[in-house]
This record gives sequence, C-alpha cells and structure tokens, in this order.
Amino acid sequence: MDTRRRNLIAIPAICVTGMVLLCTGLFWARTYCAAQRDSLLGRSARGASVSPMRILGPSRAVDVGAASPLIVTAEINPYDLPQAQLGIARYLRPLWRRSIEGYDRNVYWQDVWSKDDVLRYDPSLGLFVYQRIAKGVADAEVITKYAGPEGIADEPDGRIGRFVSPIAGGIQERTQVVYDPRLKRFFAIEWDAETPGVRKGPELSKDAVEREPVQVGVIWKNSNLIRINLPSRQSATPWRVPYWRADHVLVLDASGRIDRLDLRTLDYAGFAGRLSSPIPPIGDMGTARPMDLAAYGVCGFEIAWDDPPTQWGYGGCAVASLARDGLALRLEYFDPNGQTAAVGATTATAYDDPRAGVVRLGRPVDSAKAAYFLLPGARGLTWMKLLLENLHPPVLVLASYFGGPHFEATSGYRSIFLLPDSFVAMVARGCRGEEAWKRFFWTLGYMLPGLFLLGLLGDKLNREAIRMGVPRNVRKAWILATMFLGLPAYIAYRMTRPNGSLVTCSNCGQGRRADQDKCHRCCSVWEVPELTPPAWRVVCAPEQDLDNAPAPAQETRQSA
Amino acid sequence: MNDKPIVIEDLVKFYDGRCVLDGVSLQVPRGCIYGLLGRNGSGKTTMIRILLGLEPPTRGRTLVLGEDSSGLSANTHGRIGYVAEGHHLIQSYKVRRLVDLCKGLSLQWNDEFFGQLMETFRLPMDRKVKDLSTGMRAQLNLALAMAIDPELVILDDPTLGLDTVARRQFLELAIDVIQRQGRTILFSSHILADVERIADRIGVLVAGKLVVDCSLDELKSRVKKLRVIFPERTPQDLYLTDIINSRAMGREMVLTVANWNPQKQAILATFRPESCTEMPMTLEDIFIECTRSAPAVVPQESEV
Amino acid sequence: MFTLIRREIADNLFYVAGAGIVVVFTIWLWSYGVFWAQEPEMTGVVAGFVIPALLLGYFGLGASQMYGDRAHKISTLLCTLAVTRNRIFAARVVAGGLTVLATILPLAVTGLILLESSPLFAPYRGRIVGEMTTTAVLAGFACYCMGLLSGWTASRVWLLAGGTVLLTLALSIVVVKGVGIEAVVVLLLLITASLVVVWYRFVSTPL
Repeated sequence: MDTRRRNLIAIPAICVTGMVLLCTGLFWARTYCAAQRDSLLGRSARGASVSPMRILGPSRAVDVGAASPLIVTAEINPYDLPQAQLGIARYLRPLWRRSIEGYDRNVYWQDVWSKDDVLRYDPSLGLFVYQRIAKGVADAEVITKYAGPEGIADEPDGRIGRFVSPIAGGIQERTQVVYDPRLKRFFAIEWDAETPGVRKGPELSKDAVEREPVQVGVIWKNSNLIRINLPSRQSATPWRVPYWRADHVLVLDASGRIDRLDLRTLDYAGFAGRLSSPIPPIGDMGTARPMDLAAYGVCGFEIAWDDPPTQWGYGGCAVASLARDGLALRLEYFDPNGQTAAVGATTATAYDDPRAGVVRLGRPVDSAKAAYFLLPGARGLTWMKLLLENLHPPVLVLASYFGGPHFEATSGYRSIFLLPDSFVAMVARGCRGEEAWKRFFWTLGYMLPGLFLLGLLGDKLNREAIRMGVPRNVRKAWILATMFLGLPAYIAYRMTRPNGSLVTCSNCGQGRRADQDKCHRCCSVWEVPELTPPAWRVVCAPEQDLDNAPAPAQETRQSA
Repeated sequence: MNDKPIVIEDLVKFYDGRCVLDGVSLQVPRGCIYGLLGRNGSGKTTMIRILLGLEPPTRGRTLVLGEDSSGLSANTHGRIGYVAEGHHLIQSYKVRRLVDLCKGLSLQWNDEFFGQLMETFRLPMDRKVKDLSTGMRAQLNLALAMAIDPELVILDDPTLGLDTVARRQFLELAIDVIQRQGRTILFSSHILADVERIADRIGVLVAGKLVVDCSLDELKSRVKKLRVIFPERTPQDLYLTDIINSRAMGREMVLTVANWNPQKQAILATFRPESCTEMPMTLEDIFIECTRSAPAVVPQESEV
Repeated sequence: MFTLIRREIADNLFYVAGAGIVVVFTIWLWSYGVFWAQEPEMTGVVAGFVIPALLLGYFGLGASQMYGDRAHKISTLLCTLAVTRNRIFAARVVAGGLTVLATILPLAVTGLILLESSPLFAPYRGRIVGEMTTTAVLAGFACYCMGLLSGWTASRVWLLAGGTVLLTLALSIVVVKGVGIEAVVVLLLLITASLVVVWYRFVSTPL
C-alpha cells in the first residue's frame, strides 16, 4: 500500500481518535469546573421555601399559621450532582441495591421490602404484568396477572387487547393509572379490587402533540437530586399530603403543564399548574418542559375548607424545579385554580467586591448568576469553562448550538461530544425571543477564544505546509479541516505530513523537500548534491563485464 | 524466475537532512555474488535496509525479486535470507525457540541442511540467544538465513565483531554454502580480503554514489596504480581524466587512475616519462585509493 | 499466522496468565459469595478490584507487545522472514482480542449462572449479562488498544505518562456513558480508529 493511500485511511482515524480522547479529557475538566462551581453555593443558597398560607383565607391563615404554618421547602441535594448522573453509577446502582427498576424502564413498581413483587410492562405482549413471588416454600411460587386495555387475565390472552408504549404511574389505592399515546385515552387498572378490571376514559384530542401526557400520578424526575420538605401535619391542621390518596391524580404533559385527572371519569378535571422555570445564568429559560429540567417534584395537597377539618378537597400543589446545571431551584405553589400562590427561588448573597474580602452589605442574587459571575472564584471558573468549551472541535460546538436545546437535561451530564450545557447552548436555549441572527451573533461572541485559537492553528498549519511544499489544494483542505475539527485535524496533519528534514536548495537557497524531484519553491531540479563525489567511475553493466577488457598498463621506459 | 533479483533505480536517501545515498543505481544479476564496499556511514546498511523494505527511500525505487521493496509480499520475504549487521535475533529466546519460530514462519525449511550447519557450528540449542557469543550469534543467524533455501541472500557485514578465527571459519562455511547452492548474494563487509575471496562483482559507495560497479577482474584491470618518473620535474597537469589519486615527489609521481586504457597511456607518453611502472594492487589497495580521497560529507540542511 | 499469534501469547504470558488467574479467583469468590456466604455485596467488591486489575492487565499486554517489539527489534527479525508487517500487526491484535475474550467470557458465563439463582433478576439476566459483557469486552479491548498506542515508542517516560493518560481517558468513557449502547458505540469508534492509528504508525516506522 503506498503512502498516499495509507494516509487517506489514517487521517480520519487519527481525527476520530483525537476527537474521542480530547473530548473525554475536556469532559472531565468541565466536570471538575462544574463540581467546583457547585461547591461555591453554600447550604443557604441551595434551598427555597414558600408559605402559601393565604390560600386558606385571611382569618384561618393567621390562626393556623401561628400553630403550624404551611411552609414548603425544597433544596438541592449537594451530593448527587453531577457525579450521580454518570452512566456507570446509574447502571450499577440498581444492581448494588438489588432492584431491577433501573434495568427496565418498563418496571413501574417493585416491592421495596420483599424486593420480589414486581409490576412491569411487557413490550412484547403489550400487557402490564403483575408478578408476585410467594416465599416460604422450597420453590418460590410465582403468581402472575396480565392487564390489557380490555381487561385483566391470568394468561396473556388476546381478548384483553394490547397497549402500545403506555405511560403508567405506580399503584395508587389499588389502582394503576395508564395513558396510552396511541389509544389516546387514560385507563385505570384495578389489580386488587374485588372485581379486578380495567376502566377506560374518554378519547383525548389528537392534535396537540405538546399536550401529550408524560407522567401520571407520581410526578417526579431524578428524585435524588432535590428534596422537598413538606410541613409537619398535626391533627388539627387543615392540610394533608399527598394528594394521590384522594380521587384525583396529577398528570404532567410534555409542555410542562400539570392537570388534575379525575379517577372516576378518567378525564381532566382542571388545570393544576406548570413546571417552574429556574433562572439560568444567561438569558431567560422561558417555559420549562420536563426535558429541560434536571429534576422536578410535584406534591399535591389536600385542604379541608371547614373547621374542624372534615371536608377534604384539592388544595393546590407545590412544584419544585431544578435547572439543568443544578445551580438554581425554583419552588412554586399553585392554588386549587392553578394560579401561583407563592414563589421561592434559590438565591446567594453576593458582595460588590468579592476580591476585597471586606464584608459589605450583601444583596441576594439568583443562585445560578451568583455561581457563574459573582461569588468569589466564580469568574475564574466561568472563564475556565468558556476556554474549555472553546477547545472543543468547532463542529461539535456548532452542533451543540443547534442540538443542545433538544437534549434531555441530565443526559447533558453524560455528553462527551455535544455540549448541551455550554454557553452557546445556553444562548440557543435562553434567547428564544431573539431573532436568529442576533442569537447566532451572541454565539459567535462565546466562540471568540476558540476562533482565535483556530486562527492560530490555521496560520501555523498554513506556514508549515508552505514550508513543506504541500500542494495548494491539499493545504486548503487541511486548513478547512482544522477550522471544522480543531486540534484533532491539526494533530492528524502533523502525523501524516511529509516528514523528514528540509535540504537547502542550491538554486533558491530555501529549504526544499528531499523526496521531490524538483524544489517546491523554485522548481529547480537537483543540481549539486550535498556530497561531492569523485568525478571518476568504474562502472560496467553486468553483461559487458568481459566485452570491454581494458588495455594492460605496459611498462615503458623511454630515454630522454 | 527473475534475471535481476536486485534492481536499484536512482535511489536517494536522506537522514535528517543529510544525504546518505545520492542517486544510486545498481543491478545484480542472478547467480552473482555482489560485494558492496564503503567506509563507515557510506550507506551500505541503509541501502540493504531499503531493499528489504525496513526503511523507506527518500526517492527512487528498489526492486527485489521483481517486487517493489516498499510492498514486499510475504512470499517474496520468504525467498530472501538476511543476515543483519549486529544480528537482530530475539535475545530473550532460547535457540531452539528461535529456530522453531523461524521454521514456523518460513515458506520452506531445509531441516537436513540446517542440522548440518548447526552441527558444524556446534551451536547449543538450549541456551538463550543473549548468552551466545557474537560469533555464535553470527553463525546462528547465517544458519537461519540459509535454512530457508533462499533465492537471494543478503549479508550485511556478517563478520562484524568476529575474531579472526571465527571470521575465517564463518567465511569458509559461508563460501561453501553459497557456492554449493548457487544463489544470488549481496553482501557488505569491511574485510576486503573476504570480499576478494568470494565476490564476482564489486560495488563501492563513496560520498553517496556508487563509484565502482563492475566485476572484480574488471576493477583490477581498470584501476591502475603507476609510478611515473619524469626526466625533470613532474608536470603540473597530466591532462588525464579519472585520476583517483596522485602524489608527486620531485621527479616521481605515484598515480592511481581509473579506466586505464591505450588513450590514457598515449597521453601520458606525451610527457616522455623516464619510466612508468605499474604497481600491483589488491582489492584492499584499490578500496583505500578509491575512498581515501573522498571528501567529508558537508551537509547543507535546515532542520524542520 | 498461527505461529505469530502463538508467539505473541507466549511472549506476553505474564499478562495472559495473570489475567487468567484473576478470572479464576473472581469466579471462585463470586460462587462462594452467592452459594455459601450469601453476601451479594461481595460481587460488587470483587468487581471493584478485579475489573480495574483486568483492564490494567489488558493495557499492559498491548504496551508490552509494542514496547517489547520496538526495544528488542522483534519485527525487524520477523520482517525478514516470510511475514509482512500487516500480518505481524494482525496477529498481535488477534492475540490481544483472544486474551480479552478468554478472560471476560468465563466471567460472563459465571454471571449468567449466578443470576439464574435470583428469581428477581432471572428475566433480565440475559440483557444484564449481555450488556455488561459487551461493554466489558469493548472496554478491555479499548484498554488494550491504548496500550498498543502508547507502547509504540522508545521512551519509557512517554510509555508511562502517555499510557496513563490514554488509559484513564479510555476507561472514563465507560464511567461517563455507563453500560449499554452509548458506551458500545463510543468504544467501537475509539477501538476502530485507534487500531488504524496504531497500524499506521507500525507500518510507517522504519524498523
């Protein structure tokens, strides 16, 4: 295989290897940065609280509030970001805890005590399977039931129909609520009822994709990342949680809207609220979708409107949302009509001159902004993050601009190649109101260090390639590749470029490549080699060996 | 069957900006024993390494057994026996293991012949290669190279580091083996007496060029060393071409001339020398004359 | 080819046999833990120590093959026999691959048998073991490739420093991506590309 063909195979391989290794290295550097930034926030900056006492009415709020105030607090779990989101931890945790929930997204419930009772969805059957393993005998007896849209059976019977990629909550009050996106309706599977069966709700509207339910019943995402502290309930307090013990459940859709679902009719019973939008360090997050948040939790409340409490009804819900970078949390309480009753957000105390070290009167600032720009050491970490992002291959940075907003929030913690949490992605995500060209302009601003580095690399490559006599077109291709891929392309060039030392051309005096017949600068052929061999030769082709017998030197003696 | 097992065309090799081989062309006919000579660093080993595909050429091309050296197939490799300078054997292996490896990787293996060689060399099979003496390693290397019944044998200074007795023994066996088999052989050596004994053709590398490439007899007949005594002072210029060396002392001049022929003889006669005596030359004398005048390498380089 | 593969394994028997011993020890500990001691945690503890040791061993194998070759001019000798550099390289990679497979597969089979004893994991054991085995084989082979990549040098400093960095980066892909399709895709990409790079360096370097 000649050198050119070998190089053609090697160049993409070097680029890919370089890119994987570079991106992995940069990933850890960024993770280190994120962890350091995370540690800047003190405990006080990790929590938020709301007190929606006013929903009880002015008179009751004072009475009840004095004895047992309705205060909901939420805090960012400081130990679970972002390390807990690393792939290996997510995979091994279930095995470690001997729980299969992590291995199968179709497992909806597992008895935490016996660890052997499982409710799962079997995609091959299109049925929910309830499995109970009876112990205490030599061989464990497995009791299995199957549920489809048309009913429950002991065998996977065709008559009970098939679900197609359903969404289900856990078992609540012996009832499991299921939504099937294909069948466009809610179902209630009553496993342990006296007459087990499946109830159907009315068919929902088919046109609103963003209103597609994504969670039913227990509305939580990454529950280990945030902690919601509910108020302690005394016998006389007119509120109680959780709401799902009542005849309604909450349903979250893809747009972040939360609705109440009536368990009797399996139809929507009203707007309950929506996921809150924590304030990001740059721009405005706008409406929060479930995929935009690192974690969220929704707690429905029941409130008794009479005194002493006997008539319980829906009392609103507390919604805690954690931003994708884990630095900002927003807690919002929605009243029974879905109106915001109270809002809280994480804030940090920032001082005007963090370098002076003089304690001045601090002012509360959004925690994410403080962690990025205002707390001591924050700016250094932000600059480091910016520089690390700019060392990434430019093509991936651009891909992050376009693709970043579509990334699920916590998958960004495991993203090696694309940067969904980078500044450019923040701009793409956070400036939705801006015109496209303005957003792109801002993005270029964040790419300036990288563009500067690319300029340096391209210039160095160009000069080097001219010196080594790389043809013009090839040179252009290399510069273009470097502009797209950055450092990996430059490394590929260095590894596959014509190697060897340059020799001084006797014609133009510049360095010329020894492996080419003509000087790549002045096109002169090799005239004088560096060595000065003798002028004589004693050369005879093999076939002429005996033909050209030279004359013997005769001994001569001549007299003068 | 290829008529010219080795063909080198305009071979140029640069090492770090220093020219080692400068447009060398060479053809070795089948059945020829070619002795490649040159001073240290003249490029003999480099040329051999390029031939075997161990080193890429800077320019030019080399063909071995009809195949380009840069892409020699396993089949062609298997038809070449190579004894490297310094004997690149796997030092940590025992002799037996090394033999088994080479046997396993060869196209053909002449067990009987190899056995004879091992018996002659009296090489211990159960010792590690690193525990063998230099001479024994050379013998082992030769035995391994010859056991594959190669069409082409390349010996790169095979007697380097051997004492006189070991060298003589090695050469006698090598000559015997080589002559008996009738193979094409390219070998380089600094021991000119060895070369003189066995080579059909001689190549001498001087300053990156192959200045001599002919049969041994041809070389001896073409290169003459003459003691010329002139009636008065030696002339400033003899108007002779191909003078390799000349040394004048009063009326006497000692002259080494290449391609000696009647024309040059006639030119010299015009100066009416009192006497012109041919001095006998061995190959060693010729080699010394040829290489003594070679200027030192003056590299003109600019580091990358 | 078979001779070359055998030579590669025999020359690096320290690593191959070491990996074998670690595997046998692991199987014994797992079996003891599950059948007699009833301590499932032992699985994790053993995995925590054994898997890094194995991965380090694969890296050592690759580095030893390349560094040993360069230091002792093994390919210089082999290339003068009826062998091409491509074949030497292929034999080297096959030997490495066989070592990885021969050590991971017994662990996978053991895992498959042990998971059968748990009714909880039984329905998923095929998937769990399949995913883990695929990822472990690829991670092991990626470590081996990093060994090959860093071993083709004459400098011990580069071998140790560069090797440590490359090994850490390759392994961290599994740490970041976890076990499953994402890790498999990235590892496959890295393995393919790095093998081509090693091949390129191996066939382009004067021997």
